[in-house]
Amino acid sequence: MSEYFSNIVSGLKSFTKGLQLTMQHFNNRKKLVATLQYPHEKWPIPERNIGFELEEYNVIRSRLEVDIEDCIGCLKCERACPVDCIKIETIKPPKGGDFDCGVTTNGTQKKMLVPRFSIDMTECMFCNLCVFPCPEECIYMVGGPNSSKHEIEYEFAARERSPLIFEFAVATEKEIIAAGGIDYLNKKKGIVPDEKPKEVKSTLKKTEPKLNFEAVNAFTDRMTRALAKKAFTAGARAGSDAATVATQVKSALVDADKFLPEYESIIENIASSPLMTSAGPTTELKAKPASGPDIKLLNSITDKMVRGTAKKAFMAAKRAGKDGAGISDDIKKALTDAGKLTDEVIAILKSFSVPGNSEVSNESSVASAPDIKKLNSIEDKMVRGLAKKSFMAAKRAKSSAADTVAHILKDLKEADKLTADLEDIVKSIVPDTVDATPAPKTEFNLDIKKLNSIEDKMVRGLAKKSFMAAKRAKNSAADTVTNILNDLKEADKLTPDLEIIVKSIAPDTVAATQAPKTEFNLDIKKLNLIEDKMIRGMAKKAFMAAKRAASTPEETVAQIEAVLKENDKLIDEVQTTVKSLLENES
Amino acid sequence: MSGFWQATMDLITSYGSLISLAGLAIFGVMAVNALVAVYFERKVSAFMQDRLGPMEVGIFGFKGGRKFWGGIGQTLADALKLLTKEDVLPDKSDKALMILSPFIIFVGAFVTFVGVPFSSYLLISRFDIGIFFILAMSSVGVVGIILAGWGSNNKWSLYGSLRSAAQIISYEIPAGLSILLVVITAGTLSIHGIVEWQAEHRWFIFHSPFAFIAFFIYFISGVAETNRTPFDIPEAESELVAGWMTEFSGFRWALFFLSEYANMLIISLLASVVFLGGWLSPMAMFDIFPESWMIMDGALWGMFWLLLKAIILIFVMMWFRWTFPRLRVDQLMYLCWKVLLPFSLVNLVAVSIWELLF
Repeated sequence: MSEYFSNIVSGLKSFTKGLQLTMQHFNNRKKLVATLQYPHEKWPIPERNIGFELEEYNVIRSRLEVDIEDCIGCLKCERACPVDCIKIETIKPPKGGDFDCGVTTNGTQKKMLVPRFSIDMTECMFCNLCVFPCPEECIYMVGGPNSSKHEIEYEFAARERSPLIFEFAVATEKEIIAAGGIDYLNKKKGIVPDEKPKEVKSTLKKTEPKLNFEAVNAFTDRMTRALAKKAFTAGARAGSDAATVATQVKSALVDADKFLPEYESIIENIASSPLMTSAGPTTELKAKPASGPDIKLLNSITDKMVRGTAKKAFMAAKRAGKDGAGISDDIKKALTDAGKLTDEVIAILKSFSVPGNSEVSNESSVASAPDIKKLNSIEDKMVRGLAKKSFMAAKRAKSSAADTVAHILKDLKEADKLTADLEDIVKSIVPDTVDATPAPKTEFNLDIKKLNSIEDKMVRGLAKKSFMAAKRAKNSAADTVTNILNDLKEADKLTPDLEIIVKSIAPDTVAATQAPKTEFNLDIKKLNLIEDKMIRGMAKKAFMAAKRAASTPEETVAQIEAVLKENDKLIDEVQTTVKSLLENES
Repeated sequence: MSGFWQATMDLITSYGSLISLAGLAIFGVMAVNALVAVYFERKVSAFMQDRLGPMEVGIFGFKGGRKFWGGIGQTLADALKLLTKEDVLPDKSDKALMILSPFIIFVGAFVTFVGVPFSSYLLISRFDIGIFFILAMSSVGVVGIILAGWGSNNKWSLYGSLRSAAQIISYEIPAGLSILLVVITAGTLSIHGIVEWQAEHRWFIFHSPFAFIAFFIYFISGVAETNRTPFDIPEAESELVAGWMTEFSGFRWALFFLSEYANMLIISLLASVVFLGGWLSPMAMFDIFPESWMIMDGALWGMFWLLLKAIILIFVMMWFRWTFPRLRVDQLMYLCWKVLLPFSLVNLVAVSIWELLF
């Protein structure tokens, strides 16, 4: 009975308690309501401090963005996409045509026109996998390290699907046609040309003599050129004579609002030059590289940016129909404008202006006996380049071996670079001196690996560099060592320890160093007793350095201690551990 | 028999316009009550759960308060949606009963309003047996519920309807016994008689400690009769889908809803009339107010006081609903038969003795 009443009492208590709780919430609703009236109110975009710098860690993935002007159409992102939301189509301009796809901001020459680059963000799962493979870093997630480039879209929502399919390609129809993508355009528009006429066309192309675009190529503007070419091709195909074709080209340009007064001379040129090249396609191909200096010469420019600018200027000048000297002038001008003109480039450009040096004859290479590789022993890069260049010039001129040597020496003298050593090297390229060179080669048996015991990366690199230079110059062992030492001294890196190491590479000291090496039988494992990770690492590093330097046990211990002392880590316990290296040996 | 029909027809022709006017008024009250109460209920539940509830739908471009009481058009939109929904009748169901049952339940609530006053003047009919009529008619709904469950030909629906029947029949007893106290004390079944007794003496809830307890017994039983949480075992979403309402849709389901909220209003109004002084102003209860203030006892003020009391009670019902978890079937029966019934019996005897003594 009492349980019955106590039940009722406790029931009433919990009854009131429950009612109090809900009433509290009802009364304090202004404080407690947690709902965010979403379309009217929005949470602020949270601060992204997760312990990383934003630059290092892309935490916000708002959407994909493509800098299409940097896209080279490599399709790597399309392949990387796990859900196939990236669709790219490319057009490769025909070889030998002069449609210029442009240069990326990294200086890469684009080889494809990208008429379609669409990303369906409704399919994208924001995995970021397409971002990593991009060689030009032109596809990226908005936000994170790129937060400055684009606003992060808060909702990134749309009422239908179409606004979420992003089309990044900006290639216009004219550009596509200019890049030879007429078939692509027709396909896209649903105009599928009949199979048969296509075949006839292709066979016709083969038999027809090629159109002579030389005069038309004088247009410097890409768009204008493409337009002119189109009109030119149409006119020529229709069987008109040169004069009418020229007027057609002119009217086409006027129609497109692209005609400038200075084009008048080009139009006249078109009217006066033959429509077709007289020779067949094969001869044309051969003739083309012969018409001016070779662009490949520019490849010897080391700086990427400079090379790119130079090449661009080269192509422009070539299109304008300039000769070697004109081209080099143009390049010089372009480079000075860009503030990139260096002596190196001037030297390369000089070879342009020499008439006839661009006429490559394949036969001469067989006939010329001197070996260009011998010039590799020239240490100075610049000098080596110069020497090689004049070597090639001489070769092209089909000079005899003796003449070649004289030519190189002359060029070097002109450049004020000729030393006695150089003279020897240059003279060695003549075939009859060939016997002399292999002999020192076999003698050169210094071991570069010994330099590995140099601890400092920078110093090691320097030493190895001068080692290689010496090797190329086929110096004797002693010379090599002094060379390296000199180089290190110049760089202010020479310490007594280094000197010992460098000297050890000479063969006659090998025997001396090898002996202590076998003696070096300290056990590195003893250092494991050091508790602190940092100290242990330091000690072990010093141990290994000492081992590499083939130090004696006492020296090793002293070195380790010195390293630790430098870093203020030499505690008593550590010291005893280090010393124990010696004890056990005894 | 023909005499009976003749008399009915005569009644309708002579009082037809009056009857239809009264009917429309009752329906209007029920509809507006449902619209307001559903909105109110959703807001109360939301605030008790730290939410905001409906905030977006408005009427004529007016959404209501921007911060808390917005979305005032939500229930209207929901009602329109319900009316335009497809009227689904399951293949194997008893279609006649399925169609009939919502109307029986609705009529049960509808007819009850005939005896329920809104103020001393604003009421459909002034019975001498008003309380009796209300208690009787509010139980008619059980028939509809059982028919709905049976007609659905669905185990869950049948379960729900039988639970509902058992529950309502059980809780009728303590509710009836509690009101019997008032009837004994006031010596009348008439609503006006009871309110007049309270005007002469005091609100019945303050009549004696036993009457105080009787009010709570009646109110709890009333909540149970409307099948609301914590007594919603007939619906019990987690056990029976929606109980006897499972197979209903569209307009017929809307009638259930309408009836449920109408029943809430009936229970609250009855409790206010019987225990809380009906249309009497609370100020009349105390003598501290000057006579000039007693204008607050007029006809319209009476409606205001009565509806205010009813609304407070409706709010308490909602408060219960969003506070307590559902009772188990055995707990429900335990509460009725072992707690409320003995207490109301004791109350009955005690109030009788109290009346003899004082």
